[in-house]
Order: sequence, then structure tokens, then C-alpha cells
Amino acid sequence: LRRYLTRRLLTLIPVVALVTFAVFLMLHMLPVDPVRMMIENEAGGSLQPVVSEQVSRQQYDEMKRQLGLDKPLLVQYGLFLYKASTGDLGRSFATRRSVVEMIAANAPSTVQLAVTGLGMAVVLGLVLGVVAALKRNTVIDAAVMGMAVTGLSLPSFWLGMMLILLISFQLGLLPVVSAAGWRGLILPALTLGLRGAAVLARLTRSSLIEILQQEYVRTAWAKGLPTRLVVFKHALRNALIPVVTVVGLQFGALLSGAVIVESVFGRPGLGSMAIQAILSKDFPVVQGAVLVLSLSYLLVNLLVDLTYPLIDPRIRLGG
Amino acid sequence: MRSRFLTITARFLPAMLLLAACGSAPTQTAPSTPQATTSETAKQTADQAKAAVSQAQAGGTLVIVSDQKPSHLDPNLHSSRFTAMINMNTHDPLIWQPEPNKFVSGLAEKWEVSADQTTFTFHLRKDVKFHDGTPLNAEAVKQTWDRIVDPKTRALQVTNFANLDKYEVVDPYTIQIKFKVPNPRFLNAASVTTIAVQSPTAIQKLGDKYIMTPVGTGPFKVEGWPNENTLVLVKNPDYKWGPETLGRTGPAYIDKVVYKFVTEESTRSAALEKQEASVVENAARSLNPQYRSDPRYQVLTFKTSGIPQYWSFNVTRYPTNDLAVRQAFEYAIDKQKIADVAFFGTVTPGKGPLTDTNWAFWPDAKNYYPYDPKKAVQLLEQAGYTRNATTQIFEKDGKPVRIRLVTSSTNDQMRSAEMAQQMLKDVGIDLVVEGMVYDATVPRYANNDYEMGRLGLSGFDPDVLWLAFHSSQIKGGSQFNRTRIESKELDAMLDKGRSLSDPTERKQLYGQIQKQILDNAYGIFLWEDHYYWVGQSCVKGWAWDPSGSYMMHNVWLEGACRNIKE
Repeated sequence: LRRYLTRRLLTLIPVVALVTFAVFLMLHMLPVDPVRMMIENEAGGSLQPVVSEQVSRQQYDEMKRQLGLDKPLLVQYGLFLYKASTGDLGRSFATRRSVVEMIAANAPSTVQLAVTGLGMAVVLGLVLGVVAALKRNTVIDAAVMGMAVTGLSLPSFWLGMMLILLISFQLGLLPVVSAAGWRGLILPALTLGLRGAAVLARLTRSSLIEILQQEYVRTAWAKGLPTRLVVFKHALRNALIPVVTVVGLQFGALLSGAVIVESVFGRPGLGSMAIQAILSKDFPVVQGAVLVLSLSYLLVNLLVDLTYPLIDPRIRLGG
Repeated sequence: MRSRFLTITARFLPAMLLLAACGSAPTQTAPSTPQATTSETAKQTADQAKAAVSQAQAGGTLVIVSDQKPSHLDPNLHSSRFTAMINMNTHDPLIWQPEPNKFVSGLAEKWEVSADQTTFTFHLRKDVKFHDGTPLNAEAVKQTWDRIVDPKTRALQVTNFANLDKYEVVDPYTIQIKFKVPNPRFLNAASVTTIAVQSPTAIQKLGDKYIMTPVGTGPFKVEGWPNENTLVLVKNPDYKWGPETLGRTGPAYIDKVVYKFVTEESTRSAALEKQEASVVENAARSLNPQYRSDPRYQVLTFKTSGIPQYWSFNVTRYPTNDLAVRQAFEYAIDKQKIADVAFFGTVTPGKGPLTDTNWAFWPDAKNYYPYDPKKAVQLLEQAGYTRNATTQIFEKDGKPVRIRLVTSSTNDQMRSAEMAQQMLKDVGIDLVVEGMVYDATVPRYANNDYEMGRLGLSGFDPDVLWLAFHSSQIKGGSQFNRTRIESKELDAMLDKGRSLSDPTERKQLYGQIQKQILDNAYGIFLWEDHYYWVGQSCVKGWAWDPSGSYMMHNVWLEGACRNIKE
């Protein structure tokens, strides 16, 4: 197992390097100069140029030099990689804070959102999926699957707004703008989780239905085992393999969803940090955010692979 | 219950629909043009503020929900208009400017300007302390400025020190600054927070962390950032050096100001509706009719100063190289309708190259190019253009009058461009609207690949015209001369405007410049930008200074506003 882990972790490095390189290239291909962006500053469609014309060439060059933007592209990227390997992701152009510090300040909020959202998705998805599978071809099944299709088709942007409208306005239960603590977490997590729940419910249902038709399940029924034991011990466990894989993949969707959900609910987090950085051409922060987000996606999927033997002891993670 | 839900939905949905689709503009015309504006109203609000002082109640928390999250809060370093508004409440300028070109004492109780406008001497109050207890003196001013001019600081506000000769501490409470050339604009700089004095001890002590929680002398101190999207200011109980023009100089009424940064417009509107916000920055303009008619709300608007939002005609390309085409374009556009429909009545039509809030505004500009589609057609016919029988578009030598407008793809810009497109079609001009993100417009302008460009420049000084019409700004400098006009005469006038120091003389010269721009129809000045904020009616004493920053010195809360939780 250790060899397996080492190998998997080592393959992460080139993948992350490739992803950051792609982002790096994209950023630098933009027809825009971050130093100029800093100087110009658009406010409500109206530029604030008071500064720009007077910033002398010398000052402009000095700023570029200090930000490291005067060096050739490949050198800049090399420096980024080198520094990243020592745990230094540079400093934000806009806030001048260290990117590592900004990520550390924003990550807990996103992790909280993603974990709660994923938790809701898994719980809701599994319960609904199992119910639908057991009550196959009944009204309940149709209702659950109808809900799942609806859940899948709703953009999270719209869903968030509707939840605000319904739960905050109509029922007056929760605040609109994300508050501190769990009260502020429910709506965003629900918005984020419903989509995943829909995917998982459909998958659990079909996977479970297939398993329930297997001979060993029939044997279990024949032995007179109670339904609870048959479904949860024998059938569901085997039905979970594809479900767990999708949970890992869903995590990616969850992260991208977090970007939207965070801005709808005004939550701090990596998503809103990345958006703001992209808008202000804050290259180091964009790079740092991409690095962290892609890394976490890869790690979650590694984690998913590691859970396979737990679910099905026949699976061995070989070196 | 149901009916309440429906009203809320009805109020809330338009914003969402607009965001989702940005479809056809509603035909309903919004009532009334915005009221509160500039000098007149600045005075008015100051008077109102004075009147309100007698009945004011102290205490409470003001919750401002805004979409403009500051990168940091150091007024000397950034150039953000919106962050400067926060700074106006955490820092004090050396002098206040309650009305354009009228200054009163601030941190400096007296000041002198040399006759040639090169030397400025400020005599500081002796009783001022920074939020950390450090006393304010000339040495603190010097150290603040030292930090700004040090290239290592990368302070964007270093531009206020262009052509600096030197500055020096004359005595413990007097600082003098000398420029190599006349610098009539320096008093403006001294009257906003861009070069505001900051605590030298705090800068030393906080190091890297300083810019997130700067230490000034203002009525509110920066308490901190409870999370990445929330900023808290608290009252400075020792404050007693506020501007006399506000009616009182003592500490603020409210105990606390909490900013929450929410990018989503409809969420901000919802927060206002749900009483989670006292004031919402950049509220949904589409809800203007409701906000204006609902007694629970007040619209807090401010008309900026500078060049209105305008489209510049590229004079180097067909067909906008022809004065007749440019003038026909001007006559074909109903600016009032654009302001009423595309902006729901939250902006005012442009009158000329400067907003009427700029002190150098030339009043005769109003007489140019009234909406007159017949005249537009006439002008084109007289200039030898003929209408194509099938397309109904005018053409000359087989080339249609087709104008590509490169503009930003924001909802506001697109709505107004599409309205103009329809108006122009009626007079036989084909306007092609190419909306894109700002970044993408830059190379189009640089490569001269457009007939019309968009720009809006804010500025307190009429010199902002130099950026937009001086020939040096076509390829060099700011590249804001999207008209691409190279006129020796205009250049000479614009250069002269920078060096004159007498306001009367300057105003006259800028009048001529505005006339020249209008006579030649270098651009169509469409609408004057207004900040559009909405507050609960129970927020009292809100005031704007002429630079467009709000001042919370006298804000107080009544009734329901005292219960809004942070």
C-alpha cells in the first residue's frame, strides 16, 4: 500500500504542474497588463485615470520589476514552480498579502461549505436512491426520480436565489447574507448539495436495482433474512462502488459550484477569492487558487480510490 | 402570507430576470431624474445634516452591504474610488472641500498658497491623535509622504507628488511643500484622503499587516476583518476635529459600521428588503421605481464629476471621419429616453464634454444637438449620402454608413447601445454593437479597429479632457484619445489649461475647449454616471462630499434601523 501511495502522490506533481502551466499561459495571453489594470481601476464603468498619465515610465518599470513581470515568461513560471516547491506562492498584486496566507484565510470557509454540501448530497442521495430502488416502479419512485431530474436541471445560481426567496423571505427562517456559524451555512450547502444529491440518487437507484437482481441477494432473501440486513449489508455495499467513484468526481463539480454559491450568498472562500483575483488580474492569487483547487480535487479522488478495499475486500491496491 | 410572498417576488424577480437574460428593455418610463447632486445638494445635505443634529440619537450599528470589496485599506497606496469612500471615514484630509474650490480647515487649521501656486504651507492642529494614540504633527505628515514617494512602497498616489521639488518640516506643527511648476491641483489632493496622514508608529509596528488595518485620525477606526468578506469599523470616541460645515465636529453617533461584501446584486437587494442591510451600495437600478415610491427606502445617489459616459467617433476611419455623419448621429439619439429606459431613471443625460457637476462646465453645451431625427436625415442628404433602397441605410460611393461601436458588455452598456441602434436605424445609420469585456476592447482600440469607442472618465479637474483629446494620448500615455484627433489647436489649449492657475481664466479656457469638441462632434456624451445606493429610510444624516465620498460623521439610526444585526 505504501508503494501504491507513493506512486500515486508522485504522479500528482506533473499533473498539478501541467494545470498551473496551462493557467499561467492563459493568464499571460490576456491582452492586458496587470500593472496598468492596477493603475487604472474602473469604477462603475467610469475609469479613474487621475493617476495613470502621471505615473512616469520609470515608476511603471519599477512596479513591473518589483512584481517580477519584467522577466521572460518561462523564467517567471520557473520561479513560480521553484518557490511553490518551497511553500511560497508569492504575494498578491492587489492586497500585497502572501498568497499562502490568503488561501489559509479563505480555505476553511470553502472546506466547510464543500464538506457540508457533499455530506448533504451523500445522505440525501443515498436515502432517496435506496427508497426509490426498493419502491421501484411505484409513485414514490417516480416522485423521487422526478425530483432528481429537476434537481439536476436547476442551475445552482437560480436554485440559490429561489432558496433565498422561499426560506429567507417566505418562511423567514434563515438570513439572506451568509452569517457566521451554522445558520449561514445551511442555504449555501443545500444549494450546493442538491445537485450532487440528484446525481447520487439516480445512480444509487440503478446500481441497487441491478444488485438486487443478483443471485446472492435472492439467496439472502430465501434464507429469510430481514429486509434491513439484505439491503444494507449485502446489496447496498456492493452497489456503492460506482456511487463512491461518482462522489469523487462530483467533488470537482462541487468546487466549481462553490464559486457560484459563494458569490450568490456573499460567503468568503476560495471561490470568491479566485473570482476577484481573475477580475483584477491578480496573477499570483489566481495561480495559487488553481494550484490548491486542482490539488484538492486530485487528493479527494485518491482518497476515493483508497476506500474501495474497505467497501469490497476483493479489491487490492497493488504496487 | 401568500400575498406578501407575491409582492416580494414581484419586487425581487425583475432583478433576477434582468440578470438572467438582459432581454428587451421595459417600455415603462421611470419617473423623475435623480435629485441629489453635487455642490447644490452637498450644501443641501449639509443643511439637512445640521437640522438633524438636534434630534439625533446616538448608538447602533450601520450595516453596509457592498459589492466593492477593497483589496486593502491604505489610502496612500490604492486608487480605488470605492475604497476611498471608506477612507473618508477612517482618515481625515488636511483640509476639507465642502463645495468645489472652497476649502475649510481640517487637520490643518490654516494653510497658505504662494502666488505662483508652487508652495503650500500647512499649519496643523495641535490636539489631534491617531487611533493608536500617536500625536499628529508635521513629522508624521513628512513620514507619510516619505513612504508615498519611496518607489519601494509602490504607492499609486505618488502621482500627487509629480514635479515635486521638496517638502520639509518648518516647525513641529508646520509642513511646507514646494513644486517645480505651478500645481493648482494640489489643494484638491490635500482635500481627499489619497495623501492622508497615517500613524508612523502603527506603520512601523504592524509591518506587512498595516495596509489591511491602517491607522488614521478619522471618526471611525478600523477594528478588523472578522472574516474575508466582512470589515468592521468602530467609533473613535476622541474625535473632535470634524469639518464645521457638517454642523458638528465631535465623535460620530453610530458605534459601529459593518461592511459585508456581496457581489450578487439580487442578494444585496434581498438583504435590504429583509432588513439585513442599512445601506446597499450599487443597488439594483431596475428596482428604482419601487425604491422611489416605497417610504421604507431612500435612494442615496451622487452624480460624479468628469467626462460623462461617452462614445468617441474615430475621426480617422470612414464614415465617422465625416463631420456630417457625426452630427447626424448626435441628432438621432434621444439621450433622455436612454437615461429613463436603460437606466430606469437613475442617471441624467449628458450635456457636453464635462458633467454639469464639474466646476468648469460650459453652460452653452446644453444647446448642442437636441434630439431631432429629421435634421439627422437632412444632414446626411445634404452631405451627399443616399439611402439604399433595400436596406434603407445611407451610403456614399456604395459604402454604407456602418459604424462599429466597441463597448463593454455590461448590462447597462448593452441596453443603452441597443436602444441607440434602434434610434439610428430610423435615420438610416447602421450601428453595429460589439460588446466585450473591458480587457478585450483594449487591443481593438490600440489597433484602430473600430469606428466608435466607449469611455467615461471621472475627475474633479477639467484637465481630465487632456486625457481624452490630447494627441499624445492616441498611442502613448493613457491611450484614452479614442477619437484619434490630432489637433494642434486643441493640444495647445489643453496644455495651457494645465499651467494656468487662475480659476476664472481656466474656466474660460475650458469653455472654449468644450465648444471646440462639440462644434466638431468628437464624441456623443450620453449620460452622467450616478452612484446608486439605497438605504432604509431610518438611516439619517447621510452626506456626500463633493469628491463623491460619503461621510458618516453625522449618520444616526432611528427605529427599525437600530435593530439591524451585523
